[in-house]
Amino acid sequence: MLGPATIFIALCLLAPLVILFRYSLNEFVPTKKMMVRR
Amino acid sequence: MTVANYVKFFTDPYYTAILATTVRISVLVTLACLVLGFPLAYVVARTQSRFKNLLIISIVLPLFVGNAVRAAGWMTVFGSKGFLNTTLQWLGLIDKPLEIMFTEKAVVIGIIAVNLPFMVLSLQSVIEGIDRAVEEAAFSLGAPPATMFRRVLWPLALPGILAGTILTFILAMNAYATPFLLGGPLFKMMAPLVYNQFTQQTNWPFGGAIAFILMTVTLALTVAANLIIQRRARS
Repeated sequence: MLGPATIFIALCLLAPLVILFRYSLNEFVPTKKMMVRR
Repeated sequence: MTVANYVKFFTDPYYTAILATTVRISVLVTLACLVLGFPLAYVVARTQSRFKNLLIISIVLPLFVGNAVRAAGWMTVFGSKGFLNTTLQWLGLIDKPLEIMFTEKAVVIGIIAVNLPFMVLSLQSVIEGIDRAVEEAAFSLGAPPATMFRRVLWPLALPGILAGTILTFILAMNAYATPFLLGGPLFKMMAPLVYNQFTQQTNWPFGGAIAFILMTVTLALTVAANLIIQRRARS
């Protein structure tokens, strides 16, 4: 159970936090919004 | 990569004041939940009544409804023409409606109502595990109720107190719907601020930085409080 539990924790709980932390280190450019470019 | 978002938060008094308000309200709510929850948990744990299950269900029942719905319920109570003001005016106790809605008082009451079941359930499970004979032994040795509480019940219930306070504090620090609905547009706490940065300002980097500051402060204060309480319990 250690394997699946570790993967679940890593993917579902820690990954969003790590991504958010990385985002917090970005510079905010008001003209460059988080939108899908077409 | 830049730490400008973190610098911006800690150098702007507007944001640090919001963090201070969040911490102050969370500490206040946690203490209030402990004071209100301990007697309730003790009664539920020690009662021999056949309605014990009904008591537990009545404590858990508010958790069946979402936070936003409960906050909406409080709005109907606290409004200037709400249940509370109408009743007090009808009884002749007040002339003008009390201003509770969109104040810190409303937010504190709302978060206490949300968090109290978590505190009561954490305490009740631990108090139930304490042998009643220990309390009776303290009384038989001449300890007054206050001394028995301080020297016997409080130390034995400490695991439940810690679990309840941690849970309540974390939930209060991250409260979103209650401060948003009961506090109004001028009242700011950290979780609505994060949401505001993500959606209204579309400033994801700063929103992420605020979210991380909130998480770190919550974690640091929880660990610090635990260490202090456990050290005092040992000494």
